[in-house]
Amino acid sequence: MRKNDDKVIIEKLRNLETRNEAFNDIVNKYSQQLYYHIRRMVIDHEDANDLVQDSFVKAYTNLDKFRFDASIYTWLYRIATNTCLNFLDRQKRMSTFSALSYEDTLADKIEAHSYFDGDELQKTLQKAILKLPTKQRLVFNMKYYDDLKYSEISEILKTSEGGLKASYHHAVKKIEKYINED
Amino acid sequence: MKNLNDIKKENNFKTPAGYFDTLNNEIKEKIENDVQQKNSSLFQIFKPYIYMAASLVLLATGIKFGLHTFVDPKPIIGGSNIENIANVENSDLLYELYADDMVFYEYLNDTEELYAASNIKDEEIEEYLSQYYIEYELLYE
Repeated sequence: MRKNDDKVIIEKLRNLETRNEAFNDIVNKYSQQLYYHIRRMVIDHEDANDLVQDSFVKAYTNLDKFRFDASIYTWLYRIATNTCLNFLDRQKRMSTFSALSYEDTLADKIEAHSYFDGDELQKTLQKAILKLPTKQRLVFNMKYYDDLKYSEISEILKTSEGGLKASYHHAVKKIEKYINED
Repeated sequence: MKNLNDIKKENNFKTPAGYFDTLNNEIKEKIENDVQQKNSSLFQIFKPYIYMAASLVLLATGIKFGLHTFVDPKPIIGGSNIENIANVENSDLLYELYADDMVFYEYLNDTEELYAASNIKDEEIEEYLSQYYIEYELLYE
């Protein structure tokens, strides 16, 4: 369905004269979805704001590499995910010698952040998600919150659908265990 | 025992008021700035080469017009100069180079006068030639 919606944009992308207009359409259409995808991974609004902007800049500067038979949505998701993973890696390395792990710092942000308005159960759920390994967390968020199909996640993460299903299943089990122990 | 399905799926992450109204414009501005910066950084990368090329053009122009100003525009090899080159055959330098051979040549050609002016005998001439001009022995015969 999304692929059909993007047909007009892709046609405009092919033409150099309408390429900028097409990219504006892409920004208007996907910026919010990408922001929340990133936000769920980095928790902090300012970080998410920087990363979503960086992702679109990367997408624009790499427009020539876009395969016109591919989906704009999965292509953007892939760029945003890689930008996000690089950021998380950097943050983890920087927090190697600090008393709190990076995940604990993020959990504290959920507790104290003025831009998180969930109840206690929602906070517990977010903390449980933060306990997952980064890639498992990514798969869980994409499936659970973004409602992506396994085939789409597979295209974005370049992982087999079987592996993704197993990863999601383990993630759900860990989250349920955490919630019930809390 | 709670399952994930028992928890309401909701988005609890909030943004500052009006954030998404300005986000798209911020992204477009950032792209414009980054592209401009990239273009200017491209100029920075190629700046030394651009300056070098400009210097070479200036140098070439300077040499071309400078030579016209300071050097005699007449061609180095012209009508009168070609005659001079032709006359080099008679120059002192060549004369010195071939002096020995010419003396001997004149000597051979002026034998009549020399004979008349001197009392040199044939045997003495042969002996002299055989000592100093071995290669001419055959000619003499």
